[in-house]
Amino acid sequence: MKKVGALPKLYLALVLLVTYLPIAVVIVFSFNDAKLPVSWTGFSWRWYEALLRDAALMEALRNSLLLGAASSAFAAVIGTLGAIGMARAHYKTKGMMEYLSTLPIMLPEIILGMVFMAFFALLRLPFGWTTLIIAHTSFCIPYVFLMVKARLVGIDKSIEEAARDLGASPARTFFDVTLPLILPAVLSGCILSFAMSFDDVVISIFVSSPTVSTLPIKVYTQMRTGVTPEINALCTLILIAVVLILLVSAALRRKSASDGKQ
Amino acid sequence: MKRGRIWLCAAPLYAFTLVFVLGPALYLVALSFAQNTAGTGFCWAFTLENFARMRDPIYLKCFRESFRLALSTTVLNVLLGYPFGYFMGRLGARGKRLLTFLIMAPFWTSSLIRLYGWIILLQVKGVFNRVLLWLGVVDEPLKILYSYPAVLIGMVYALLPFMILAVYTSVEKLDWTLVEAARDLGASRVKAFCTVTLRLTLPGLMSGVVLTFVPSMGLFFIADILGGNKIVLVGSLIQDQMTRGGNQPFAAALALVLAAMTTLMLWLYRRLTGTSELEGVV
Amino acid sequence: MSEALTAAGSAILELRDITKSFDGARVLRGISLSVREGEFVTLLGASGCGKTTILRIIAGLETPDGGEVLLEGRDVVREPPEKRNVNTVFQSYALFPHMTVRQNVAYALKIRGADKGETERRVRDALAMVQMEGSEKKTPAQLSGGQRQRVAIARALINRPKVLLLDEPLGALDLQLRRQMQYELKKLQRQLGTTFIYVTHDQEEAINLSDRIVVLRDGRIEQQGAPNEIYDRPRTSYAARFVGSANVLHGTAVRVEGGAVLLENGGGAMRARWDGLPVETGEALTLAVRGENVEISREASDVCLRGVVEANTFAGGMLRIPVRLNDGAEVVITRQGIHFDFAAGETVYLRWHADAAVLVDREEAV
Repeated sequence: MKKVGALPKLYLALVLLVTYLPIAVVIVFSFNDAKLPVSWTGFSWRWYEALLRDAALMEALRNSLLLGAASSAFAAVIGTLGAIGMARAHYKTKGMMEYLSTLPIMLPEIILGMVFMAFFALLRLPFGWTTLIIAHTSFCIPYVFLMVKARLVGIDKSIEEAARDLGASPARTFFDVTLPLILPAVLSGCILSFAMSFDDVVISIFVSSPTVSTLPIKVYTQMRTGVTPEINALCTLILIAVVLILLVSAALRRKSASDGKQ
Repeated sequence: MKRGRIWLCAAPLYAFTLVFVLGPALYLVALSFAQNTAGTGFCWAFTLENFARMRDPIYLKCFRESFRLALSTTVLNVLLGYPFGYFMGRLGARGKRLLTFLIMAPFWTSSLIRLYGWIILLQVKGVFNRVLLWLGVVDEPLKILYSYPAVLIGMVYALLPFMILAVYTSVEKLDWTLVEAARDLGASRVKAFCTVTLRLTLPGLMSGVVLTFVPSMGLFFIADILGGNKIVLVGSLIQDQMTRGGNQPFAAALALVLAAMTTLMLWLYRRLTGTSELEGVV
Repeated sequence: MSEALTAAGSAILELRDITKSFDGARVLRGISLSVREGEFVTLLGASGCGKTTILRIIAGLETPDGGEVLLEGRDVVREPPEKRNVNTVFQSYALFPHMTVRQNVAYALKIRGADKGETERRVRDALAMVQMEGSEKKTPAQLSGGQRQRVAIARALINRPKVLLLDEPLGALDLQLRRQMQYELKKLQRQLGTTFIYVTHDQEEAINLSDRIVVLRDGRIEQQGAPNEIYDRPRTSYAARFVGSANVLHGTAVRVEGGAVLLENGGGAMRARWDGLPVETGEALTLAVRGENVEISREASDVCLRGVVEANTFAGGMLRIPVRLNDGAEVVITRQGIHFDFAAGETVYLRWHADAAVLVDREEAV
């Protein structure tokens, strides 16, 4: 029954080809000697060398990495605890709270960015690290929250009860049983959060300051003025990193899925 | 079981959500009814002016344009993404894993980088035009970049993975014996597809529609980068009003309308499919 | 409700008037039960009768709305599960998926901080007890259903609990494995002398395993007693149907003669053993008679029921022959083997020895 003909396979291949075409172009031109991405003038590492010397770009990269790490870490703690608290307790405001806490990824990003900008101005928060971290944490939480929640639903409640039954206190049960079982979901949520934070342009534009800028903002500004091939080089490096992260995440997901099958 | 204090775990989430989600949301509503004053300030005088202003043909055109773009993006995504998700769901386990990986990988790389790739491809002296010229399809390079089609390509490209994964999630869950049963009962291939497969994967399709339509209303930077300054979407308008225009109340009103439209979409999705969670979100 | 058992004095576990509601629905309506040390007690009932809730209340996984749970004479209602010397074998086994078999079984010892040598020895003993030696390093995902079951039992027994609670532990296994595990469980219980409280909806399991069966219905104890006692002398029509699948028939009393009650209904006349309680002529009575005790013939006699054979089906080494009586009631006759002389559609006469039929639901009539 389950067979896919040659024509559908061709279609799948074609769509994937188009998906990877722009990425391939970026990678190829990162090794091009010429400054303009128009014609191939010869292989060169010069843009990778230039990249390492470009202090502003490297700083933006460092900022983005830090921001992603901080936001996904905050999101991991708040989102995981929140999912546990909400999954195991029952109260009237729960539905409303779940709706509100996942709202940041349900609305178009532009709204979130605009609202945060106005709201931070109201609170007189200085734009920069604080505002960036708060804004990014807000849209990272839902990813962790939803993933951990889904995992918790999949865990047989009697597994935790068995630990209690065998003499473990509630805290011990959490660390011995619950946490190891949800850990893959927490990590997947973290990785997804990090990727989302690392890629975000729209919200960052609204809440960053001229002194604290992120990589996507730098790239965005360059794209409107003039892109240097250093960006191509940087993108190629990031791509390699992302593929690595993704492989790790896929392995974690598989482990999580096989644990849940029991 | 007695779990008296477990809810305390959710306290940080509660606090964060109340302060940084509900707070801003309420502020947005309040702001949209505030009075803009000269310069960059505003004062707390109740007015409907910000909403009335949207009836200006310039802004109406902007909404229309955004809606049209979002709609075209969504339709193209359905046409391209549904078959992809469907065929993908019928592959073997290894094929599924590989394709999931291939779909996810670029979707997690910088969306800006991928757009930049399109710029390289589509520019007048770009790869695409060179190929066309070489093939003799055109005599003069096409000016695709900084036009409506370029923006559409960028939007479809950016959002297609969401559609594919949403449909795929649904197709994966489909019980193929139901399709076999329909065929067994005399339904033709097409009829079986329409009455069983399509019907049962509708939640995924609808989820994909929401996941592409909603963000496409706000992805102003795609229109900015690939469309030059020719196409002004609601997103660009909001950004412009917040920064250069300095009219926060009007920006708030625009955002509120956009949020209302989004919420309406989500509500419709829930009503039509009877589920509360979007398929294939994470 | 509590029998003379409490008088034995060595009650290890006692429930006193336990009540429990979930979201306004009353699940337990006053359960009182006394369990002797070393006894194998089965809580038997259909799903939703509250049997699992009773188990969870004993384990401490659920708090009753009212009543007392006395473990060795001490009220433990306020004590959390980890403080009770009671362990549970869960219906879904609830093995920790991220731990090996060894780690699963050793968990309770690890919590108590037992030393390495002792842990090693006791894990080995526990696994040997359930014939799972050599599987220490496997994960639960690598085990079959029956093996998981054994590991779950070993894990629950390692701390030598006073009482072992088993929640439909054989429910997920196939019939053959189930029979074998029944035998092994019973052997294990005799060997260890541990008190077992066992929950099931399977009457055969209950009869095979238990020293005492407690039949539950809608959160109340319907009847309790030794298996043969409930089997032979059910007190209610529910217990009669549930344990031993008896036929329940209604009739009106005609008279009492020589230790038997003569009843009449639209299908004819029948007899039941007289229980010594007063019977008035014309009183509505209910009796229970099991299929294997019903005699069938082509000739009528003075006390018999008339009916038509409907069909016959073969199941579990037994023939089941439903006979539709004249008044519309159905009597299912059971016979060993596959041979049966009567064809579907044939008119037949049914009767039984007065001692084979029991009057039921007598209290309710009073």
